[in-house]
Amino acid sequence: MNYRDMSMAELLALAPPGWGGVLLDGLWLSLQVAGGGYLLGLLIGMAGAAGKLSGGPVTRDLLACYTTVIRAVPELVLILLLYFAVPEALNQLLVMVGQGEVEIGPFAAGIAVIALVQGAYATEVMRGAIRAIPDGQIEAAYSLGMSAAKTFRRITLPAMLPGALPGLSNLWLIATKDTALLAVVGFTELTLAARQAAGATKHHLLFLCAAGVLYLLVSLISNLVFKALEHRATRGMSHG
Amino acid sequence: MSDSSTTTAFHSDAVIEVENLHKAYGDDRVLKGIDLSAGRGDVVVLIGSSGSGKSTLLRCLNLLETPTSGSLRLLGETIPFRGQGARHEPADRRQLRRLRARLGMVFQGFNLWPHMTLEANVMEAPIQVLKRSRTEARDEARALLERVGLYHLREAYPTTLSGGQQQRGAIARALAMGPEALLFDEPTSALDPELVGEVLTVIRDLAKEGRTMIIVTHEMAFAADVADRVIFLDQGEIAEQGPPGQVFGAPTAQRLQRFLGSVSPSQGE
Repeated sequence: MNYRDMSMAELLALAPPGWGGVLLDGLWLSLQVAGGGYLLGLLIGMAGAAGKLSGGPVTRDLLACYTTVIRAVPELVLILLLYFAVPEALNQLLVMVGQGEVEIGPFAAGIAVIALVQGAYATEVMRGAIRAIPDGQIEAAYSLGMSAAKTFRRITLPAMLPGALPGLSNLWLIATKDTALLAVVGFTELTLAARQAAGATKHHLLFLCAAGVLYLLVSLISNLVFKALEHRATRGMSHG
Repeated sequence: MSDSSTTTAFHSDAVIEVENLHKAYGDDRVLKGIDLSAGRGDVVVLIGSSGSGKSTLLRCLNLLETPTSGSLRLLGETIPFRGQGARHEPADRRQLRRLRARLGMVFQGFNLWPHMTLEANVMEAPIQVLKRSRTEARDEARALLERVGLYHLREAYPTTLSGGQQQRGAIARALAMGPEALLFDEPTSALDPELVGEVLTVIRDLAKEGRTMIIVTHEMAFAADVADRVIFLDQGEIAEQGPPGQVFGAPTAQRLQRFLGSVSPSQGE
């Protein structure tokens, strides 16, 4: 294939020999991994924040270990650990108990790593936001006979949102960019797709810039969404 | 501890009964053997200087604070406790929720939920706890907001309201559960002086309806007006109690005389 004489539009065309389709497929995979990891991370964060604030001493110590370790170790190391080391250990264990081997694919490993990392940061973001809620609002719920679980879901979570959303929107942007690290384990997300296109066509500047523009679009759209969410969550607060 | 002769035995008809209640935070003994009982329709007013333990006592009555020792009987049910020290707590969570749902509480800081409209604040517990339908809860909420003069503000968010409006909304929220007794924790202390009157008027109307109420307040004229019984707390003990005429008119305890001499006349009326 002679890419040298093709125009930019031809190179970026969705159908081969253009590489646009490959880029968009990569983007879609990136968004899936980021979205899945982010949502799981939010669940971990909620549980983590609740545990840190009202769990027993053992729970609190375990959570402190989790957030400290995860936030200290580079995500790239975590990805390599989860993709190579954890399956190896798991399979040795499985063979020992006479079970077959399992394989953790790059997609699952990616979601797991992003969820673990996001969970650690989200735990801290939500813990701070929950602590900023006046005790009286929680006490009011208890005084009306609401259970701890119902109070958390109906009062604590929505009351914490205005304080947590700026931090959580940051985390989402980080999640979308962390997916690029999955390129090291051969997962064809947007960054690897762009590198493949660049390598094949020798048009490095074009495809890396195209990937950059796609990341930028994702973050611009995300900002709009989070702004709308923040506006909704702070109804009745500062801007009525 | 003095005059507790009327409250030493549990009465079957009492809504709230407390016997020999102690509360300590570490070495700080806030309540030192309180006996208290409120029968159906009684309005009991707790007075005392700040730090006397009156708010702590009130918060022990619906277990927002766990007493260190002593017995507590709410709506005819004895509260069992378990655990020691910091883990001392009511043993039966379900019972606790059931009883709290029947005891309304109004706080000094209003504590309306800022992410909900006034109407949604009032509807929340009936829907979540009493399993009322939305329609039913909304009708009830509107009637109650009408009653406290806030019907026109039902769609407003709490932070856009004045303190007096928020507190009236908080009273409506407590009333929405159809409580058998109401606990008021310094309901006007956080209000600007000109807003105190509107809240006291609402509380006074509730007293006239024959509701069982326990009120912690600094408004002495209001206390004298609504109380069936006034209890003066000093350093964690009941120093004097009786009908308002007696407590305010002919106080016997020296501490009470000093206290009454130190408080300025009520500005609420």
